Amino acid sequence: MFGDGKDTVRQPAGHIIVVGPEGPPVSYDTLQCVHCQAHWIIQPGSGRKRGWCLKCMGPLCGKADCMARCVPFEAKVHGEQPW
Amino acid sequence: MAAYQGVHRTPAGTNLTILALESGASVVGKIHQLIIGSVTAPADIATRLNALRHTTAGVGGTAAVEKPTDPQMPAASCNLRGGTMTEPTYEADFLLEMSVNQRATFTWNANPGKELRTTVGTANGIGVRSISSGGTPEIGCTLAFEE
Repeated sequence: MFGDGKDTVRQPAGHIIVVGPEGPPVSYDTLQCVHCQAHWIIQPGSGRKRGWCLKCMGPLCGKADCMARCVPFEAKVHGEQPW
Repeated sequence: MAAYQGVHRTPAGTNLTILALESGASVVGKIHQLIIGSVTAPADIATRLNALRHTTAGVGGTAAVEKPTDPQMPAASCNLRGGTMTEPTYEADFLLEMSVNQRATFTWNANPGKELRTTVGTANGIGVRSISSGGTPEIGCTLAFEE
Protein backbone atom coordinates (compact mmCIF):
# COMPACT_ATOMS: atom_id res chain seq x y z
CA MET A 1 0.00 0.00 0.00
CA PHE A 2 1.27 3.51 0.76
CA GLY A 3 3.72 2.64 3.53
CA ASP A 4 7.19 1.21 3.51
CA GLY A 5 5.95 -2.36 3.76
CA LYS A 6 6.85 -2.85 7.41
CA ASP A 7 3.25 -2.60 8.55
CA THR A 8 1.96 -5.36 6.35
CA VAL A 9 1.55 -9.12 6.27
CA ARG A 10 1.15 -11.66 3.53
CA GLN A 11 -2.54 -12.29 4.22
CA PRO A 12 -4.09 -9.23 5.89
CA ALA A 13 -7.68 -9.35 7.17
CA GLY A 14 -8.39 -5.73 6.39
CA HIS A 15 -7.01 -2.34 5.50
CA ILE A 16 -7.16 1.08 7.09
CA ILE A 17 -6.64 4.28 5.15
CA VAL A 18 -6.38 7.60 6.98
CA VAL A 19 -6.53 10.76 4.91
CA GLY A 20 -5.45 13.87 6.80
CA PRO A 21 -5.20 17.53 5.82
CA GLU A 22 -1.43 17.29 5.37
CA GLY A 23 0.80 14.73 3.78
CA PRO A 24 -0.08 11.63 1.80
CA PRO A 25 -2.73 9.12 2.89
CA VAL A 26 -1.51 6.65 5.48
CA SER A 27 -2.39 3.00 5.13
CA TYR A 28 -2.21 0.06 7.48
CA ASP A 29 -3.08 -3.60 7.22
CA THR A 30 -5.06 -5.31 9.95
CA LEU A 31 -5.21 -8.86 11.25
CA GLN A 32 -8.24 -10.52 12.78
CA CYS A 33 -8.44 -12.71 15.88
CA VAL A 34 -9.85 -16.13 15.01
CA HIS A 35 -11.52 -16.38 18.43
CA CYS A 36 -13.21 -12.99 18.96
CA GLN A 37 -13.10 -11.38 15.49
CA ALA A 38 -11.28 -8.25 16.72
CA HIS A 39 -9.14 -6.44 14.17
CA TRP A 40 -5.89 -4.69 15.02
CA ILE A 41 -3.33 -2.65 13.18
CA ILE A 42 -0.02 -4.37 12.55
CA GLN A 43 2.64 -2.35 14.34
CA PRO A 44 6.03 -4.05 14.41
CA GLY A 45 7.81 -3.28 17.65
CA SER A 46 4.66 -2.24 19.50
CA GLY A 47 5.47 -4.64 22.32
CA ARG A 48 1.95 -6.07 22.33
CA LYS A 49 1.93 -9.83 22.80
CA ARG A 50 -0.31 -11.59 20.31
CA GLY A 51 -0.66 -15.27 19.61
CA TRP A 52 -1.36 -17.98 17.10
CA CYS A 53 -3.92 -20.75 17.50
CA LEU A 54 -2.56 -24.04 16.20
CA LYS A 55 -6.08 -25.53 16.02
CA CYS A 56 -7.63 -22.66 14.08
CA MET A 57 -4.36 -21.90 12.32
CA GLY A 58 -4.91 -18.19 12.72
CA PRO A 59 -3.76 -15.17 14.72
CA LEU A 60 -4.96 -14.30 18.22
CA CYS A 61 -5.47 -10.77 19.52
CA GLY A 62 -3.75 -11.39 22.84
CA LYS A 63 -6.74 -10.93 25.16
CA ALA A 64 -6.70 -13.40 28.04
CA ASP A 65 -9.94 -15.13 27.02
CA CYS A 66 -8.75 -15.67 23.49
CA MET A 67 -5.33 -16.91 24.56
CA ALA A 68 -6.50 -19.25 27.33
CA ARG A 69 -8.46 -21.76 25.25
CA CYS A 70 -9.59 -22.41 21.72
CA VAL A 71 -13.15 -21.27 21.12
CA PRO A 72 -13.48 -20.37 17.43
CA PHE A 73 -15.94 -17.58 16.76
CA GLU A 74 -18.27 -19.90 14.87
CA ALA A 75 -18.38 -22.24 17.85
CA LYS A 76 -19.01 -19.32 20.19
CA VAL A 77 -21.93 -18.17 18.07
CA HIS A 78 -23.49 -21.61 18.05
CA GLY A 79 -22.84 -22.29 21.72
CA GLU A 80 -20.53 -25.23 21.13
CA GLN A 81 -18.12 -26.50 23.72
CA PRO A 82 -14.51 -25.27 23.59
CA TRP A 83 -11.86 -27.60 22.29
CA MET B 1 -26.20 -12.16 -0.16
CA ALA B 2 -27.10 -8.50 -0.39
CA ALA B 3 -25.04 -5.44 0.51
CA TYR B 4 -26.38 -2.35 2.24
CA GLN B 5 -25.02 0.87 3.63
CA GLY B 6 -26.20 3.51 6.04
CA VAL B 7 -25.00 6.88 7.26
CA HIS B 8 -25.49 8.83 10.43
CA ARG B 9 -23.94 11.83 12.19
CA THR B 10 -23.83 12.28 15.95
CA PRO B 11 -21.80 14.58 18.21
CA ALA B 12 -18.93 12.73 19.86
CA GLY B 13 -18.57 12.55 23.60
CA THR B 14 -18.08 10.02 26.34
CA ASN B 15 -19.59 6.62 25.59
CA LEU B 16 -22.00 7.77 22.90
CA THR B 17 -23.04 5.50 20.06
CA ILE B 18 -22.70 6.98 16.59
CA LEU B 19 -24.28 4.18 14.59
CA ALA B 20 -25.22 0.61 15.48
CA LEU B 21 -26.08 -2.38 13.31
CA GLU B 22 -28.66 -4.66 14.93
CA SER B 23 -29.20 -8.22 13.72
CA GLY B 24 -32.52 -9.44 12.39
CA ALA B 25 -34.50 -12.11 14.23
CA SER B 26 -32.88 -14.79 12.11
CA VAL B 27 -30.38 -12.84 10.00
CA VAL B 28 -26.88 -11.68 10.86
CA GLY B 29 -25.06 -8.69 9.44
CA LYS B 30 -21.45 -8.59 8.35
CA ILE B 31 -19.78 -5.19 8.52
CA HIS B 32 -17.16 -4.85 5.82
CA GLN B 33 -16.55 -1.12 5.69
CA LEU B 34 -16.51 1.83 8.07
CA ILE B 35 -15.84 5.41 7.00
CA ILE B 36 -15.50 7.97 9.75
CA GLY B 37 -15.07 11.71 9.43
CA SER B 38 -16.43 14.96 10.75
CA VAL B 39 -18.47 17.77 9.24
CA THR B 40 -17.70 20.21 12.05
CA ALA B 41 -15.38 23.15 11.30
CA PRO B 42 -11.84 21.74 11.19
CA ALA B 43 -10.00 21.63 14.51
CA ASP B 44 -7.43 19.39 16.14
CA ILE B 45 -9.76 17.36 18.31
CA ALA B 46 -9.01 13.70 18.88
CA THR B 47 -11.81 11.21 19.33
CA ARG B 48 -11.39 7.60 20.38
CA LEU B 49 -13.94 5.32 18.76
CA ASN B 50 -14.55 1.62 19.24
CA ALA B 51 -16.55 -0.96 17.34
CA LEU B 52 -18.18 -3.04 20.05
CA ARG B 53 -20.52 -5.98 20.17
CA HIS B 54 -23.77 -5.36 22.06
CA THR B 55 -26.21 -7.81 23.64
CA THR B 56 -29.09 -5.42 24.30
CA ALA B 57 -30.19 -3.07 21.57
CA GLY B 58 -30.29 0.68 22.06
CA VAL B 59 -33.58 2.47 22.60
CA GLY B 60 -34.73 5.55 20.72
CA GLY B 61 -32.21 7.33 18.58
CA THR B 62 -32.70 7.82 14.88
CA ALA B 63 -33.49 5.12 12.36
CA ALA B 64 -30.84 5.19 9.64
CA VAL B 65 -31.87 4.01 6.19
CA GLU B 66 -30.30 0.72 5.11
CA LYS B 67 -29.71 1.55 1.48
CA PRO B 68 -29.16 -1.47 -0.76
CA THR B 69 -26.07 -1.20 -2.94
CA ASP B 70 -28.06 -2.94 -5.65
CA PRO B 71 -31.44 -1.23 -6.02
CA GLN B 72 -33.03 -4.55 -7.00
CA MET B 73 -32.27 -6.07 -3.61
CA PRO B 74 -35.03 -6.45 -0.99
CA ALA B 75 -35.17 -4.37 2.17
CA ALA B 76 -32.60 -5.26 4.81
CA SER B 77 -33.52 -7.54 7.69
CA CYS B 78 -30.92 -5.95 9.93
CA ASN B 79 -31.56 -2.55 11.45
CA LEU B 80 -29.35 0.54 11.65
CA ARG B 81 -29.87 2.82 14.64
CA GLY B 82 -28.14 6.19 14.93
CA GLY B 83 -27.43 8.17 18.09
CA THR B 84 -28.09 9.86 20.32
CA MET B 85 -29.92 7.00 22.03
CA THR B 86 -30.32 5.13 25.27
CA GLU B 87 -27.12 3.18 24.98
CA PRO B 88 -27.07 -0.53 24.16
CA THR B 89 -25.42 -2.95 26.58
CA TYR B 90 -21.94 -3.40 25.15
CA GLU B 91 -19.41 -6.13 25.74
CA ALA B 92 -16.20 -5.00 27.37
CA ASP B 93 -13.80 -5.97 24.61
CA PHE B 94 -13.71 -3.98 21.41
CA LEU B 95 -13.55 -5.38 17.90
CA LEU B 96 -11.80 -2.41 16.36
CA GLU B 97 -10.32 0.69 17.95
CA MET B 98 -9.95 3.93 16.05
CA SER B 99 -8.40 7.14 17.32
CA VAL B 100 -9.21 9.81 14.80
CA ASN B 101 -8.30 13.48 14.48
CA GLN B 102 -11.33 15.53 13.52
CA ARG B 103 -9.49 16.77 10.44
CA ALA B 104 -8.91 13.26 9.15
CA THR B 105 -11.07 10.75 7.35
CA PHE B 106 -10.69 7.17 8.49
CA THR B 107 -11.64 4.21 6.31
CA TRP B 108 -11.55 0.58 7.32
CA ASN B 109 -12.22 -2.25 4.88
CA ALA B 110 -12.43 -5.93 5.75
CA ASN B 111 -11.24 -8.52 3.30
CA PRO B 112 -13.86 -11.07 2.22
CA GLY B 113 -14.51 -13.54 5.04
CA LYS B 114 -12.95 -11.25 7.63
CA GLU B 115 -15.95 -9.02 8.29
CA LEU B 116 -17.23 -8.13 11.75
CA ARG B 117 -20.20 -10.44 12.12
CA THR B 118 -23.12 -9.86 14.45
CA THR B 119 -24.77 -12.72 16.29
CA VAL B 120 -28.36 -13.61 15.48
CA GLY B 121 -31.23 -11.94 17.39
CA THR B 122 -32.60 -8.43 17.38
CA ALA B 123 -30.92 -7.58 20.69
CA ASN B 124 -27.50 -8.36 19.27
CA GLY B 125 -25.39 -6.19 17.05
CA ILE B 126 -22.28 -4.10 16.67
CA GLY B 127 -22.09 -0.40 17.42
CA VAL B 128 -19.57 2.29 16.56
CA ARG B 129 -19.19 4.29 19.75
CA SER B 130 -17.19 7.34 20.73
CA ILE B 131 -15.46 6.36 23.96
CA SER B 132 -13.91 9.75 24.64
CA SER B 133 -13.33 12.98 22.78
CA GLY B 134 -11.53 16.27 23.26
CA GLY B 135 -14.72 18.06 22.26
CA THR B 136 -18.09 17.45 20.74
CA PRO B 137 -17.41 17.35 17.00
CA GLU B 138 -20.16 15.86 14.93
CA ILE B 139 -18.86 12.49 13.78
CA GLY B 140 -20.18 11.06 10.55
CA CYS B 141 -20.13 7.31 10.13
CA THR B 142 -20.84 5.32 6.99
CA LEU B 143 -21.37 1.65 7.71
CA ALA B 144 -21.51 -0.91 4.92
CA PHE B 145 -22.69 -4.42 5.61
CA GLU B 146 -23.90 -7.62 4.00
CA GLU B 147 -26.56 -10.02 5.12
